[in-house]
Amino acid sequence: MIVRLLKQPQFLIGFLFIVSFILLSFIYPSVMDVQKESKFLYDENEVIVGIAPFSPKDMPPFGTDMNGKHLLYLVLEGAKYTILITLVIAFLRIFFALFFSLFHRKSKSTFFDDIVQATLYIPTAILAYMFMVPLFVKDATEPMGMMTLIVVQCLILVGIGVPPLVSTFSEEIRSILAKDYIVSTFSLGSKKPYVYYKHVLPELSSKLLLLFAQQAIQTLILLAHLGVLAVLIGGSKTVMMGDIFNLTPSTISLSGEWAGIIGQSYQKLLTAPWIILVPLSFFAFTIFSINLMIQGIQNSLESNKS
Amino acid sequence: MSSRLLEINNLNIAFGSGKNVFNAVTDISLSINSGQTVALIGESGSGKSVTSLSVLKLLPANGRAESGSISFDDKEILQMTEKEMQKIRGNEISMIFQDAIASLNPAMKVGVQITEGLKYHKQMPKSELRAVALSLLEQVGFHNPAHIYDQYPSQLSGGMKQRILIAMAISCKPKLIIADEPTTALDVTIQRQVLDLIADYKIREDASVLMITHDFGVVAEYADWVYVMFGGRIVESGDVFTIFNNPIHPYTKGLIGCIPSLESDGERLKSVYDYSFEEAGYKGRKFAPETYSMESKVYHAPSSLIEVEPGHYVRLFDESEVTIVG
Repeated sequence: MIVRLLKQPQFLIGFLFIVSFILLSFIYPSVMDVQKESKFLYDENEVIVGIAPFSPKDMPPFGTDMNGKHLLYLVLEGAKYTILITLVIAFLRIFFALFFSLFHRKSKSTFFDDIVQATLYIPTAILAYMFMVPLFVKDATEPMGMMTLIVVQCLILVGIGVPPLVSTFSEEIRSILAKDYIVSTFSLGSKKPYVYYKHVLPELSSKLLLLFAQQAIQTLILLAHLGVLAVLIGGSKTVMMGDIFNLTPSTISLSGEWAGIIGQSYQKLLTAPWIILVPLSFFAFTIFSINLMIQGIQNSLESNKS
Repeated sequence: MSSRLLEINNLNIAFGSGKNVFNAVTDISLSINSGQTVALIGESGSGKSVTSLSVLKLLPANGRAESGSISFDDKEILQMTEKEMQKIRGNEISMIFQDAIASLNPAMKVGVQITEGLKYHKQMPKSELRAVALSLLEQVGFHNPAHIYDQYPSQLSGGMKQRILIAMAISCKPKLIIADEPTTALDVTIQRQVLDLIADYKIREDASVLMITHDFGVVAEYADWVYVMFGGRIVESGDVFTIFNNPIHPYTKGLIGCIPSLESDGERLKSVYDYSFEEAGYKGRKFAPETYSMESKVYHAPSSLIEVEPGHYVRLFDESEVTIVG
């Protein structure tokens, strides 16, 4: 399966981008000449001629944010959190959904499916916002620590994605179990665990990979939306920015993931649009890469069928 | 003296629930003795396959045996737990399905699929499993078993796949083989090979065969006893000579009449429905199905299997009991 996938150029390109981005995120301080902050811009006489934020034209390649932090390094730093958290959430969604669907399959009631179908049209960002805001209130009164907060937030994001997947998997498992070769296997005396392990899971495996990639994309989009709503993974702190005559509150992400960069600066969309557009572009590029991987997986499945 | 191996009594099988209940099989009774080949013959939808699946308790999720009994080797199948059934399936009763393409997992090597039954019922080391599988492949006519063992179903022809299914079915030497239209999807040259393999196994192991078919040619050559099914009921049963020489029910006559004859010159091929149910009669009794319509009225009469001569049963009903129901 893996070898077949790696022969698909679309999958390979997407996969290499994601992997190299994560690797770069870990090793960039040791391989690049890192100057993370430029709060002021000086002329040849060492006179201050500008103050952060700087546009990509003034401070290539991506400019700086309000605090003079280079967006290139912010994005590289945040990549490991953003992509890894996304992959973990997507994995856990698939894992729990598969686990629950093995039990749900036995139930003939369509009640659960009807409830799930009804909730499919509620934007997941709204659901996540509703569940996460009380968490921040609790964290403000009884601080729970960043790691605990990240774990609870991830569980919420996992929980939101599981019910629709349970519905999908249950349907899929039902259709596999109705196949003639499964009845044939049962007619030989096979036990259910064996049939699931040897027949159902291998048939599901390629679809699992496809759904995993789709879940990763959904999670990335959700994180970007939550960033705009100032709901940041790992929590945030509010700092006052500007000069003494014009202080404005600003939200700063504690974990550094991409949505945090959007969340802390989305008010600057008109005056310093690059601060929003750079992390958004990386979101888009990551989604594009995962989509390439999905295309590769689908091509592999098609070639397997024919 | 052969002993009774399988006995089905007054079995009723229904699908669905509430107002959507559909009775697929009504009041079926049949028996198979050791070493006997029994044919269950009827058109598609007559309930043959459902009857055979109920013997293995493998009915689809919405189907159930409503009443009756299935006794195998003096054990009541319908009372057995799933665990007890797992010990019987493949080991004492096995099944050969009609669609060999769909009955094999396309993503698993055929050799591994042959060993599945052996894994459940015989505790063997892996190397021995492979050796047994190779021997089974040889028994079902493959001259290069080691090569076939590593093939995927898509690499084999229809006849080869059907032979793989036979190898799977006979792997644990079951006492009863249910062959559910094993030759339907095959061309005539392969059909004989497949049926001969089943017949050879039956003779070698003194096993019994329940042959489900709609082909009276197959019945004539391989069966000892015949049950004819129509609309979920048995309409006629008897030994193969009686059924061929003296068919009484018009549906049986229709099925036999459908076999093209080499002697008939220029005649139109007959259909089973060229034989009228409503008008045919036998000694004052009629053959019509329980509920039938005539001249825009719906009639109903309870029918029963009547022994018209020793061992020869025909489903009939008494005209005096006919009632108009609609």
